[in-house]
Amino acid sequence: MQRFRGLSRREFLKIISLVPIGIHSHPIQKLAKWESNAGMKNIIIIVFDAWSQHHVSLYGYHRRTMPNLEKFAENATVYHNHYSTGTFTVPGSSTILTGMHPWSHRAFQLGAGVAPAHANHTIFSALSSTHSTLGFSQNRYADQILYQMEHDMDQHVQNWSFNTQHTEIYSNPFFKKDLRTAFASLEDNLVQIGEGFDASLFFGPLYRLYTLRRRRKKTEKYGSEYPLGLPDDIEFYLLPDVVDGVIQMLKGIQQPTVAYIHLYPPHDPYTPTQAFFESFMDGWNPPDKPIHDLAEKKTEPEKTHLKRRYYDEFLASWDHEAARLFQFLDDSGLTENSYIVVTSDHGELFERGDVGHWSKMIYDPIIHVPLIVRVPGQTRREDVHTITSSVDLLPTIAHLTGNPIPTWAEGRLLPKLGGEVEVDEGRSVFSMDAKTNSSFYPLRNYAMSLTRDHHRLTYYSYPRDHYEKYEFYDLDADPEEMKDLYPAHPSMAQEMQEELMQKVHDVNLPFMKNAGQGT
Amino acid sequence: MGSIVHRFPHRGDIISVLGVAVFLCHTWTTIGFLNEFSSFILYLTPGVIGGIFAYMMAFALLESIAATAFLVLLSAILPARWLRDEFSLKGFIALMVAAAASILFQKYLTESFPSILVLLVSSIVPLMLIALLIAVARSIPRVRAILLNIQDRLLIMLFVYVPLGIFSLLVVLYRNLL
Repeated sequence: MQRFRGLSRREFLKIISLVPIGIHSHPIQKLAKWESNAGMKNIIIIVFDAWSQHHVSLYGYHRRTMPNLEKFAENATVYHNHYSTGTFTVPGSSTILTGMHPWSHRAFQLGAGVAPAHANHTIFSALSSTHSTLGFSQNRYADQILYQMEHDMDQHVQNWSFNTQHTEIYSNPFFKKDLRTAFASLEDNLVQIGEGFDASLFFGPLYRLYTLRRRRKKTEKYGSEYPLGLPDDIEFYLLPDVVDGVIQMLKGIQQPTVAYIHLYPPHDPYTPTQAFFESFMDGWNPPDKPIHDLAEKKTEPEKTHLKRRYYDEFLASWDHEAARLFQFLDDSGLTENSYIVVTSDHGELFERGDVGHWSKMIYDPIIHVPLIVRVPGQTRREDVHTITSSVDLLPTIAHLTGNPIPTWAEGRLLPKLGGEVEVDEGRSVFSMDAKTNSSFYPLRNYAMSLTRDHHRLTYYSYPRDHYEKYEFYDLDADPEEMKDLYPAHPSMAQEMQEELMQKVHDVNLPFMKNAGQGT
Repeated sequence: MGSIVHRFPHRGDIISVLGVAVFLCHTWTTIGFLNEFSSFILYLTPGVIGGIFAYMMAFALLESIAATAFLVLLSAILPARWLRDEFSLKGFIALMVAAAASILFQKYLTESFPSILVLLVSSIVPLMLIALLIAVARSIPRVRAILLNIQDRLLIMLFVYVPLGIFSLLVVLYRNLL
């Protein structure tokens, strides 16, 4: 047996030279895995922010807002009764990304992230063993959630990448390691944009001057194209730039990839292009609805109608640009080797005194969102009228890619994509708002709706506003939710009330130990 | 170099002005933090909230130093009678007026770049007010005494806010560099 005589200098150098490869072996392993999975399909999830199904011509809206989407849907499956679990970006997009209801992921408030225990429970972690993962959100609050999930993402494209203006301080590379805290303290506090006082006494106003000057320059340059101002996600962006950026991003993906692409339009401010501005001056207005007690701003109907028109015109402007994206998906062959999901994180409301989605009210336009899924090689349109929820996306995608459905996922398989239409008939889907409730305590200040069998029961529990009420609507007979049937106590309302309250009780149980300490 | 340093105000006066700047910046930033605190506790853990507070205090310290340094440099550039002489009093008045103007001016900086008129008014009026208050303070000894007395009492805050700011700065550096 040979005695070990130590390493020669040459041998030592050879071994040392392998160290960097050893350190990077994990990505190499991944690369090898993706290479071996190259035959698998991509998953491309495209989210349009604040996109209500009520305003989409594909779903029967009489204004022709999205003809190009209609064309895309000719070879796709269109879900007609799809509901978001949340009423604004944070809970809505967290559900798409985690496959959990807001009461589980606990991202209730603007600026919040998912509960740390669920930061690993994501669409990226569910597919990371088979797919490369990519995340992009133009909405900076959804982007904060992506930062939480960054450890499972191979590529995180910065939210300002396709904007025409870039002035955010927290994006400075110095803060890269601590970006979420830097965002919460710098961008959301020390230096603000719009209404509100900067917590920085001297620098804040100076920085406002700087950003406003830059915005004025951009407006001078591109303003003629946008009569109501440039599209604005805190920073200005141009619709063609966003589409170009996404196309470039998709050109670079390596099959198989799961890509979450969250685009800001048609989120407010509604800024239609010159070509579509005043294109819906048809004199049409929806029925006026009484101002709700929970309406934040009590906006007058005339202003509400005007905003609705701007929203529709902005939607048409966006559809005109998005057509290039849909065309690229076809031309590039991505429609042949990818599941393409087009949906929204929440809807938009133009009624009862509220405009937008910063509302405590839950009515159909704020939760009823489009869902269009194009299966690889699909050549005809299919329509699904079964009730579905945004919580269903993650398990369905796991199923489609041959991955196990994660145990934490709370949804079902979407019909036509593994799920059965018959099984889901009579299913209950939940949507909620809890932006004034603590994430650490049981639900007390919240609204929750249960939609089932074409009926909706909504429970408003806002003790801080001294407001507690049930509302019950027959969505078939009364799609505008004008006639509250709850005072008549129909048996179905009672049954749904029991189900809803049982759900609230169940989801509150894990937090009851904190209940005595606050709300 | 020696001649430039010679043009700077006395060190004691600079510290007095720094005391005012530190007090103003940290107090305003703390108010801003407290405004958000009620929403922070809904979804952030105490550790994260502490991190945010550290960022804000570190920022306030840097802002106070920058504001003081700006006045010191200005005093070296301008004729001595304008700012360097009685730097402590003049710096105090300048910072107080600038802080008030800054708070009021923010209201006009929301949607669009302000008009030339607003810019002129928001810069000339505070300057005139500073000049007026300095003149009043110099001509009425009692006013001068009151202002210097207030400034003297504010100095104590240096011993609270500066260590807090330095500690916060270290926290921010630690979180980002290590």
